[in-house]
Amino acid sequence: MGVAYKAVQWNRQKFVYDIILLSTVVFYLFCFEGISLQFSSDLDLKGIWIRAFGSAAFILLHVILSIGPLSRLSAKFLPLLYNRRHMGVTMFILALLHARDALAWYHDFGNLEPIVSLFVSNTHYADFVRFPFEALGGVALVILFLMAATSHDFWLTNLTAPVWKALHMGVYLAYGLLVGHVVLGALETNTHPFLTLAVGVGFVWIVGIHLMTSLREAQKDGAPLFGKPAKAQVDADGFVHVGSVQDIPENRAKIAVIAGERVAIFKYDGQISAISNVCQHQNGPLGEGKVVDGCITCPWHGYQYLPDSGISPPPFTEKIPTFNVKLQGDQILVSAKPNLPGTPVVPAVIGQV
Amino acid sequence: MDSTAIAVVEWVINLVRAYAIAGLIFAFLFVTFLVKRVDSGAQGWALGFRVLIIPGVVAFWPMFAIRLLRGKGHPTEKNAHRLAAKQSAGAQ
Repeated sequence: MGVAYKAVQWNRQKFVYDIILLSTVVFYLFCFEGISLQFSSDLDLKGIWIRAFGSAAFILLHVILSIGPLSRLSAKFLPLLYNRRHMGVTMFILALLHARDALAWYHDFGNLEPIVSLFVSNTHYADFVRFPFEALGGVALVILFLMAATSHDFWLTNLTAPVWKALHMGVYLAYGLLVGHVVLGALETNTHPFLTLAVGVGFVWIVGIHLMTSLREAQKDGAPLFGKPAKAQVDADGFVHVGSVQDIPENRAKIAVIAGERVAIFKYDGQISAISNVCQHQNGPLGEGKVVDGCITCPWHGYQYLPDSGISPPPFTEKIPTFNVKLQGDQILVSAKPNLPGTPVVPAVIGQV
Repeated sequence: MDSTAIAVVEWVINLVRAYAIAGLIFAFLFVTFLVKRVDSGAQGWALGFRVLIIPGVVAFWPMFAIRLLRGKGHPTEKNAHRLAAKQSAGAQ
């Protein structure tokens, strides 16, 4: 970052995104309350809101987990990815409200502190069916807290994007714990087949869409789904043949795996340049972006880099590794060794001998 | 209820509380006076930004304490291309 941090870098898109998000959540919560009161008049209002917050958080988690793979499958879903962190923080707040109310409702009546009671009231940790589902929810809530607390760009800079991403991959652990929390908790007490079916369909959807995306990514990279990908063939001069100029549409890129990571080879203004595919912001896939106003623009959050140097235009200061490029006829050759981040490279001119 | 389980849970919760209280004190000092030393992006007062990072600083305060003691700023990410570029630059 080369500009000062703000709480939120507001723009019109973020306002619209947040208004839609919050109004949908509020609509769901009140619908849940209304329908619950209609069908189960014996339920206490507090109990209904515990379920409303919990189910809203769980549904929102499914939406959040679907956005990543859906955006990989179709660019139409990229607008949802743009402000996903606000969705994540909203989901954490809903989960926190669920936990707060459940703690007060079920554990604030003895001589133990509610939080202590939560972990000791059921100690059947070795029993699958009677396993204390509350503990699963508690651990998931801690993971969701760490993610929400580190959602600002300050954390991307201070943890670095790979560490930040690894931390945020904890969402899959949280999801697994929450599936356990719901199956051993809500589905044990409410045995309506619709709920069981909904949780099952949600789980199959999340696993299925991730599997489908992984298969497609592996296919694109020419790599097996499991095991190490084949190494790129390097010629005597230390260059890798990546294909023809005709393979790449104007202002777009072709992606090839070189030096253990994806490289984005861009065609623009009659030239070819290659940079690391990894955006410094959230490690977004630069090669899936396009050249806008002379800059390679990340499809995830719009971070930009000059194609011939990998440097963000001022006042930004991000730098990514570049690659030497040459042409043999219309065939593109990319150096197997990356240059240091921000190293200027002369683009290969199409048609020049 | 199992008294050993209660004692263990109480001990763990008190440990987490002590960590969080120390983190909260550190976070207040960090966001008020020290954040600029580790990240030049924290310019001006930007109250909203400073308040927003407090929960994370409470969770990760030892990392910033060590960074400040060593007089270091934020790190740069490491990935396959950056490591290979550094390696080939060093070899030249």
